[in-house]
Amino acid sequence: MLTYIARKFLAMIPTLIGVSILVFVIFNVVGDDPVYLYLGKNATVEDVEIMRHSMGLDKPLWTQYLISMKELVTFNLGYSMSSKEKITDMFLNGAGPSIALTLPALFLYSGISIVLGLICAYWRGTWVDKMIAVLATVGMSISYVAVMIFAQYFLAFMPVEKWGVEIFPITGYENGFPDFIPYILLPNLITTFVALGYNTRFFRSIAVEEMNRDYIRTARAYGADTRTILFKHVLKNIMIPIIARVVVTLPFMITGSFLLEQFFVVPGLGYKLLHAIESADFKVVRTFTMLIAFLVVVTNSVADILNSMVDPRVKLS
Amino acid sequence: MTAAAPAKFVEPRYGESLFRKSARKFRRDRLGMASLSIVGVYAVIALCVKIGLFATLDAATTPVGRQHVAPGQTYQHILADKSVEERTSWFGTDIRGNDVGLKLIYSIKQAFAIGILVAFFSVLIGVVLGAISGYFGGKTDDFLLWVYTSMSSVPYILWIIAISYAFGKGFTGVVIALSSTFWVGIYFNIRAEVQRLKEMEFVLASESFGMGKMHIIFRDIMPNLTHLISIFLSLNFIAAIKNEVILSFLGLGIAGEPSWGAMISSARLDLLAGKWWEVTGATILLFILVMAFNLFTDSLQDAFDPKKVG
Amino acid sequence: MKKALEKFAALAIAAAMTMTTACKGSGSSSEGLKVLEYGAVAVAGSSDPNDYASMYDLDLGALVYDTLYEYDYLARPFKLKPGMAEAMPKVTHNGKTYTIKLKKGIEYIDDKCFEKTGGKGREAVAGDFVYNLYRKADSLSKSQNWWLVSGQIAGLDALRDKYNGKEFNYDEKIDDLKAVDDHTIQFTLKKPFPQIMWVLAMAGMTLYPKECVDYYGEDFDNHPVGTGAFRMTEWQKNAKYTLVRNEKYREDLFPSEGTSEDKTAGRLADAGKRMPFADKVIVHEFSQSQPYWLQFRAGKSAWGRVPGEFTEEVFQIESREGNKKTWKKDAAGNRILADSYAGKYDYYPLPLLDFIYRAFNYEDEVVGGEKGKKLRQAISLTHDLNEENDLFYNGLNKVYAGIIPPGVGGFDPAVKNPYAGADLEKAKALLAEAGYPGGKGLPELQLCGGNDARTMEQAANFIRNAKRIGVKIRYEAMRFAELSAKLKQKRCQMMGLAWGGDWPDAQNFIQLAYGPNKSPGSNNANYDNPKLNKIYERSSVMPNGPERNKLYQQMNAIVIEDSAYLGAMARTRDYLIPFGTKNFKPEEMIHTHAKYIRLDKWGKK
Repeated sequence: MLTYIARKFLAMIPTLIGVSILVFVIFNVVGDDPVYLYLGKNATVEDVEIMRHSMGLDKPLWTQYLISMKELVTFNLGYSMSSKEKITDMFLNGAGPSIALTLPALFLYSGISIVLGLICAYWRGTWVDKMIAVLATVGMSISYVAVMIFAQYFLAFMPVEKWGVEIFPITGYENGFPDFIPYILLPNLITTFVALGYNTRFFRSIAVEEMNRDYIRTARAYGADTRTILFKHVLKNIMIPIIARVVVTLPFMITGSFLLEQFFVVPGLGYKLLHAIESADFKVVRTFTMLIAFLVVVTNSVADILNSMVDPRVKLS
Repeated sequence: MTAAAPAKFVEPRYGESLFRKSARKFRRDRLGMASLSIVGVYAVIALCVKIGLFATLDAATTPVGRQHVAPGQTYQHILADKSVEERTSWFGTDIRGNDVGLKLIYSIKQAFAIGILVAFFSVLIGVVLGAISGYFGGKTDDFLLWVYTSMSSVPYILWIIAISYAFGKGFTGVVIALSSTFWVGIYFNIRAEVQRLKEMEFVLASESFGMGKMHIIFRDIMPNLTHLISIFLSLNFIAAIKNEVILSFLGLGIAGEPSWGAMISSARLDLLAGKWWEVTGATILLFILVMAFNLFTDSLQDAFDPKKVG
Repeated sequence: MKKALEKFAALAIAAAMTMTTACKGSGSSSEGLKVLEYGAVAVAGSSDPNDYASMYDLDLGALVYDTLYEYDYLARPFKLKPGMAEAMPKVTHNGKTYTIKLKKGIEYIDDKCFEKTGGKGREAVAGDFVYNLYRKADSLSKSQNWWLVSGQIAGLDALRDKYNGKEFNYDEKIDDLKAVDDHTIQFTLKKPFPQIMWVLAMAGMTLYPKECVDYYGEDFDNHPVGTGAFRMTEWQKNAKYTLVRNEKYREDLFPSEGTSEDKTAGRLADAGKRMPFADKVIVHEFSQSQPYWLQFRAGKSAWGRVPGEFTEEVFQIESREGNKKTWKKDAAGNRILADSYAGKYDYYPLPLLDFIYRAFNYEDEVVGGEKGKKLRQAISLTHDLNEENDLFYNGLNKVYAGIIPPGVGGFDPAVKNPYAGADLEKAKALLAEAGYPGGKGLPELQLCGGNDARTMEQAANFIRNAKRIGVKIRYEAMRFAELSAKLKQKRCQMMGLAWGGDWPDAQNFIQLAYGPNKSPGSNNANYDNPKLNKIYERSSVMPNGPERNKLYQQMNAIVIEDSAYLGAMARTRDYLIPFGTKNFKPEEMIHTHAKYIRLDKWGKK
């Protein structure tokens, strides 16, 4: 087991190198040229050269790549060109809002969809099951963007416009507890709504699979009641795949949702990253992407390990 | 039920009869058939637009009257010879005075074009790379797997943005960006399935008869992947048209031609000023198509695999 | 006279103090802090005077960094008056040498970067101004504002070249920019440039201490250390910034002269009182117009700008004819607020010094040069700017000919653009003359512009219009970084852009068409007509006056005939001012409103 874990973590290194190369190629080689943006409106040809030189963009590509890697590995990242913030601070400051925007939703929709999944599994094939399944499909068919637009309109905009009552703030964010709470409510509701369909279907399928196992039939034959079967046996056994799925989702909680943050103007990581892309601030793009990738790789490994504990078919050697 | 599943891989040409059997099963699925017919109606409309029967690009982008006519309102409709007549608008007009109804219909064609192309290319790339990776293993597998892991370690929306840098914007840009991102999930599944299949007796048998590798991949293994491929085609079709909306929202969508994404992102400003029809129309048409396709995919999965429930 | 003023000031201060105490007494305020809150429609990017890139940067910068000269708040047409400077500059050597005396005793805010004095801010001295310009010239500082002074002072240009890409020597002395003593700045221009006075009123030309830049390094941007009316206490990037009154701010009195309109609007009630009036300023930054607007509606902003999509809701419409809306107007010709707004707000329409235009790349093989003139004129004739104005701007923009916007000297409302559309017959004829009858033989043209939904709709409208005579245009929607790179590398055939004036002088707009300013300079169209260049050079050294305005008009006529620019429009910004907000006079060249504003009921926080 230990060697398996060690191997998993060693395997992260080539992946991270891969990510760094892909990111470098895409942003530095074919991405926007930042020089012109940062020169201001009245530049001369010489200014362009000076700027290019001072940004190190006149060096060969591989040198640029190695320099950027050195900065990353030594965590000597300096300041963002576009927002003038310390990049490490930017990441730390952005992580909070992103998490606040999505983590409550993760718990909420995971909880609801586990319950729904269990209900479906128990009454498999009845109208309850069918209805939940169809509703889940309906839910996952609604466009994310449309949900944001209409939720903002009906739940935040209209109450203020028509009746002068503020239920949810239209957009925005404030740092610090408890100031941030009003701002995260609506985004969390939206995330829950959008994710519910997918997750109910997922949990339903693993719960159904579990219900079909022999031991459940035996338990039923012995007259165990519904609650015991669902919570004592099924839920206990599907807990690890559930946790594994939640763990895999975690890094995306940290990036928040790009769209949500953009739409609700929440200065989280996704928002900052999109702005860095807009303003060709490669250092920020690179750093953020690498850190996110790192989190993804770590959590994926953790999820793999969790899954391997329950699934004997995964070879541990 | 459960016992039947592994059996289908024993016979080399089982794929064909599985297909026929699934089709029979699918036809009995009422929800599946209903959703298929909805998809069918959309497809027919898309085809008609494509061959120019109605809602041509020109018609959809020529102002028919004043801007922001609400549905049900009468307005001065501009005819082809520039004369006007009073008409009642069905779907309203947009900020430029274009008919929202025509834009919505034209967008069906756009959605199908994007959906079909992205589904085709992403599945093609995913299946070919997955089969190569799974069958040959070794260094090739290591390399492809490395690319796969690297790509899937970064939120896909970032890749879409990044790739749209490289390949420009507009229709082609969207198709390339989505195709080159969506193959990832398919690759991994196909690879796993091929790895499993290549240990099967019928493949081992072909190998022992000295069949060529290409022959084995395309004649022996591929037929057993048809069910996965059709499910992925349909899943990626849905994902493509949903993501077109997201790309438009981020300013990376199709410029210059109507599409649901462009309509939603452009008219959302009007929604707040009380002009609801454009964004609502696009949302509803998109929703119906995606839902029908989702239900269709479910039925498809059920038909192919009795064990599959999710 | 001076004595009398002082006395008056003292009285005013006393009056203000009693007022404050009165406020304290009547309000239920716990701390008695007078808080001014308002929304900004965009996000400030930088507070460093070396890096101001947008007017939103200036909106922040001008509050924390004082300037040598400032706009007279109420005077129209614009007038400058001394700020940190003792008096207007002494200009000698045929208008080339400027000698500026600094007010004595103006100190920087206290900050830990003043290590020598234990955190106490030192006096702002002439050397700090020299340092500011040196830092702009320092290529390694990557200043966004070098253009403000580049090409003006020979010695400074030489320093820029000498230390190009190398470490700058801040101790090197030059003759034509120097601190004569602690309170005297002197610089000499290469040639007369009367507009330099407007430049000196920009926040980027302030004084700031070198030791603080050295102390904070790149973090200086987050720790502004200035002499402005306020100092910054918190900045949540992209969300809000908080400023508090600078206790060490120089004596700055509310102007006692204004226009007759100011008198009737009661904007002179605080004449002679010491500013700023607010103790604390909280600015909420928005990147979208709807939430900004709702927050204003909810009473959380001391003033508001009406976003275009809400115009119909705010003002009464008299009639509609097709896309043309006719707004109900009062006797003075102002639009009338809708009932739900009329009881709460004053309305102030502010015409902006704007140049919203499309342009052809003058160096392009097809649309550029003398060769492409007929084609440009033909395309220009397909597009009706009034229609675009009705469709996308509620008909509230001013459409004008050429590149001199209404509101600056040299603008002539009588000038008409003979190639203004839509006249399809004439356009078709010109297209045929250009060698492309019915568009035959003409390749698809490329139009570059922004990627927000509205801009894309506007472009689609334009493209649709050109298609009517057979000209095919493809729109390339771009991110801002991409657009600036494409423009500066001359890789756009046509472009849709906007230019907001930096100062109220036609020169700031005409320079866009000056050949030597072509990309990567501000002349994005790369327009280059020797005739115009010659007149520009002559006009640029001339002082403001009818003679110069005549030259401006000549240049405008050249630009119109060449049809290198397709335009133009200037926006009108509609301001709503809640009844409780006093002394607010909208103007977007001025960035220091927060120090003038007094609220009937201050917010508390």
